[in-house]
Amino acid sequence: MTNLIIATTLAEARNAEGEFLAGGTDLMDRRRHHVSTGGMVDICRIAGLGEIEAHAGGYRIGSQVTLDAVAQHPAIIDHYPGLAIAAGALATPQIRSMASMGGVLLQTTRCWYFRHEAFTCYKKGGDSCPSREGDHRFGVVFDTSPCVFPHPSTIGMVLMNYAAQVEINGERTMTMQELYGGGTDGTREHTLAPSDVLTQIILPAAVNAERAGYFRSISRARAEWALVEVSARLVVDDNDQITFARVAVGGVAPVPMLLPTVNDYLVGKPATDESFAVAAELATAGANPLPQTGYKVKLIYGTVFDTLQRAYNRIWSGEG
Amino acid sequence: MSEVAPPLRVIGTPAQRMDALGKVTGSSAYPGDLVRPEMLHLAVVFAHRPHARIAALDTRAALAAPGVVAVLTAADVPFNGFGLIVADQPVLGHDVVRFVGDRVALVVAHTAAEAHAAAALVHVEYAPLPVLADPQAALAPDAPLLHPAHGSNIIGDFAVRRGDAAAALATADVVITGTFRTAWQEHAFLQPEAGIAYVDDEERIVIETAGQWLHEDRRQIAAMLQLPEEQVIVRYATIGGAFGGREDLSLQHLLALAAWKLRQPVALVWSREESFIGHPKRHPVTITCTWGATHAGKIVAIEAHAIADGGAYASTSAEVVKVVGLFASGCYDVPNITSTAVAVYTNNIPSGAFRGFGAPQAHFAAEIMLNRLAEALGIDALELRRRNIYREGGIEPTNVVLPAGVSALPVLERCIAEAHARFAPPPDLPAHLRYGVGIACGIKNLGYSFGYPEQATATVELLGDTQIERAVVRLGAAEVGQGNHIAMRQIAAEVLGLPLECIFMICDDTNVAPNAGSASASRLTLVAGRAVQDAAHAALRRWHNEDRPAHATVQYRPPATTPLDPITTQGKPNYAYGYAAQAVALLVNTLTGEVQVQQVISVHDVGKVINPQQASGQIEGGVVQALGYALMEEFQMYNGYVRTPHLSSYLLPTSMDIPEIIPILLEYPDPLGPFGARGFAELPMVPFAPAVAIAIHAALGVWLSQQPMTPARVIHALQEVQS
Repeated sequence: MTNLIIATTLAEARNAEGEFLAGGTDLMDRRRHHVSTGGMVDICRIAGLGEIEAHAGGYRIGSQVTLDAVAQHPAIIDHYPGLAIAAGALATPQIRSMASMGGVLLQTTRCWYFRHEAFTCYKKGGDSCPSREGDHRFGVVFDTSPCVFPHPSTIGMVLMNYAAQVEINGERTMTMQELYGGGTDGTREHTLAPSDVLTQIILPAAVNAERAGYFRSISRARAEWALVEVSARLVVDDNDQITFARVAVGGVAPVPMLLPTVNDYLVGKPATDESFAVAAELATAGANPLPQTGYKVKLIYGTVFDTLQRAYNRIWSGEG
Repeated sequence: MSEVAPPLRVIGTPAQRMDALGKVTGSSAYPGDLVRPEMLHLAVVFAHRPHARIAALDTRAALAAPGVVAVLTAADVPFNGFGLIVADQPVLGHDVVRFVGDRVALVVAHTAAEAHAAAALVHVEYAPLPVLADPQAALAPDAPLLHPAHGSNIIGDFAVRRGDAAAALATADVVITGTFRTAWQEHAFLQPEAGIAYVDDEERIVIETAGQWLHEDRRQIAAMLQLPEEQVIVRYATIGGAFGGREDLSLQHLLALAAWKLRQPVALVWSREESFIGHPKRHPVTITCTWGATHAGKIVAIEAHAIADGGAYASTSAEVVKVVGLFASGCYDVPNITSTAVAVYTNNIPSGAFRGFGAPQAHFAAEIMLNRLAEALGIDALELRRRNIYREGGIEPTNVVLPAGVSALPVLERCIAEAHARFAPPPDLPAHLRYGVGIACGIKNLGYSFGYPEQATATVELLGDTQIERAVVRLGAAEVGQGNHIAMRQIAAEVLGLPLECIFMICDDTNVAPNAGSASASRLTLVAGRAVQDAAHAALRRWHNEDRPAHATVQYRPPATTPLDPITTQGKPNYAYGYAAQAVALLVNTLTGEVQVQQVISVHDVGKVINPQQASGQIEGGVVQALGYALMEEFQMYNGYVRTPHLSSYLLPTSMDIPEIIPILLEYPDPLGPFGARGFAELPMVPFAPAVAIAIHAALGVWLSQQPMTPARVIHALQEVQS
């Protein structure tokens, strides 16, 4: 009944008709709800996509590597702690042991209108956003796209904060910003063509003595898509002066957001609550919330502040 | 924890329940585990739209699909209606579908996969009809009628008057008003609906499934098939939770229909998504109320008006709104009350029974109003409770004296004392974490109300030669996980002087166990417990009279209740109440709006503890369910469509959300109950959400008046205060 093709090489995958199936944690959910109904192309058996290895002064992570493997990997924990913390903190142990790194970067929006077969929207080929007119309590506060739902990928936000690149089809690389685009196209979550396979994630050289934090504001203790989430990376010197800062925020815009003005502010400041509070306030600049998302502006402030504290104090917020 | 040491042999001991080992080891057969040789599989075609006329229904493609044996439609149903109170819900839709979960056709195939594949091929042509998604709009004079034969969109309403509330409010020293909103809640029992059905060799239709009331399931199925009830047998397998969500028929009648029509065994197992649209939810209720008091702290008047979204079909809405309206004053004796409540048909998912049955919604308003009134009066809120709380001889809103055994005050006092002894703010809290404590009280009727016939029947048979060697107890009462069967076994063992293992329980089959009524309304401990106790005594008397083997069947009927007089609104609504008080200690993160409940003290007057382990478990489970309801569970609908169709969008508490739960069991004997015991299963649900709201207020100084109290609502409330 279901048209499932099992691809064993990149070429086979690229020439096959259908949506790519890796860990399946997003795709199978959409099929269950009749939102994905076409063919599927299983790409799990393509060789060479399942390794974490040193690469060009940094590391590279194959797109089939699971979240759990990233969260547990000693080199990732040592060199890219913000990635390891986030990979271990999201979803549930079951999801983390199935979901692939490529899949979490390219997952589709969590918008319930999108995920309901009775509704059409920009992302399903329609010409309206039912959430904008209807319920958008989980929507954006930086309203740059016709679609009002924020980008769903935590890992995408964290990798952007690590200036990672992705390799496509084993051939070319692009930045995370290029992968996700400028946040104005309401029809899709990323810029890849349907036949493109994300093959590797390439992390640049690690930053010495990095302290990192990840935190998401949610409605229960665990296992919910973020209302607002933040990745923070800090280096402080012996006098507790901040010498390096990278902050990114998710759950608030059509694509994950880097916060360069926050980074610029923090560098040279003492690592204190006062500095973090000013940084958190700066993070809300330019917010133009929807009627139901005003609370998220406050959440940006709170989540940035909290995550900076966590990063400075090296609080490992993954499930333990 | 008991106030009085139990002088009894079996009552009061943590006897192990009969189903414990099977459940722990996985050997228990739940309805989804049942098989019969040659059984066929069903798939339901749901409407998946909130309101439409069925213009055409074509089953040809489905019938031609591989493995398909039959496709049943409305034309195949002998009597096409069901419902607990009125049969207003079609078994299979024939002209109009009124909510997303309306069943339209039933596909029967050799495998479940074939049935589901063919279900997608049933072609239904729908002509959309306007969607009534808002109960207020459904009340408008020009609103279309969802059930034209019913004559209005009002499923049921309730009004009670005591004294003259308007006059008393006009002269009260302090008057406050408030509006409170609660959400749909999904039962989310562990095991979605499932079962099998077959025709036995005596030409009886047998349904093996899960439910909450064997004999009521049988009544509705017999009516649908137009068979005498004796030709229908309902049996319950191991039940994976219920909480009210199995009071209505969901798929039991569909199983019966297919097996009866095809004369072959059939099975049906619903997915979580099917379960979500397949059974009713807790009513979302909006309550607007005004409370007035004197400077001396006497609450003199309450006016309250509640509107509940009943959804597309009646279910138990008409009874639920009576509970909402009756508890407008919580557990406080207020001389002037005007309270109305109405349940309205809409194209939303039907609302029905859920642990608390209207009491949690009413208490969310009443308990918060009491605290706000205390704030306005400058009186400590616990002191204001003491001054107004129900006492023995107190008067209900319906102008009758409360049933004897009013323990609201000692329950509250114990809760206050425990909170003082056990709660302390954590030291060195960072500035963004605020600590708060909230205490609230609760009352809930035990058993059926307002004249609904109330009884439980039990049979006890004593077997032996010169002495009683064993006893068989027959009691048609569902073990939904609450521990009823072990409690009934303990009662029988106590009366008969036998070891527990000599008591054999037959409880799960309409054909061999008499009707004990539903596992609902916290009623089985008292009503079924008395039936077992009285039957055991009667059998024992016969045994001593040499009438052996001794056999006694007793129908226990508690004191009658009455409907309210339509003119005076007087009447006796209930024969027993349970009382509870809860204290909640929590932290609120002012940066993220996150509420972390740290500790919960849940004090209950249970009359007499029959099984302390089961009683504590009931409280722990109830608190967890109440925590979800208060803080995160929000079954959402939009224009008749479900916004939260699965467990990734409908948030249940995880193990990481669970606070320390301290159950306290008090034993003020109930005058009616077996050994003084009274039920309390719903009560952990009743005061919890207002206790959380009160604690959040203690932490932040802001009042939340809408459930669930999510981070977004906490932040929003803070923003409103700051601006």
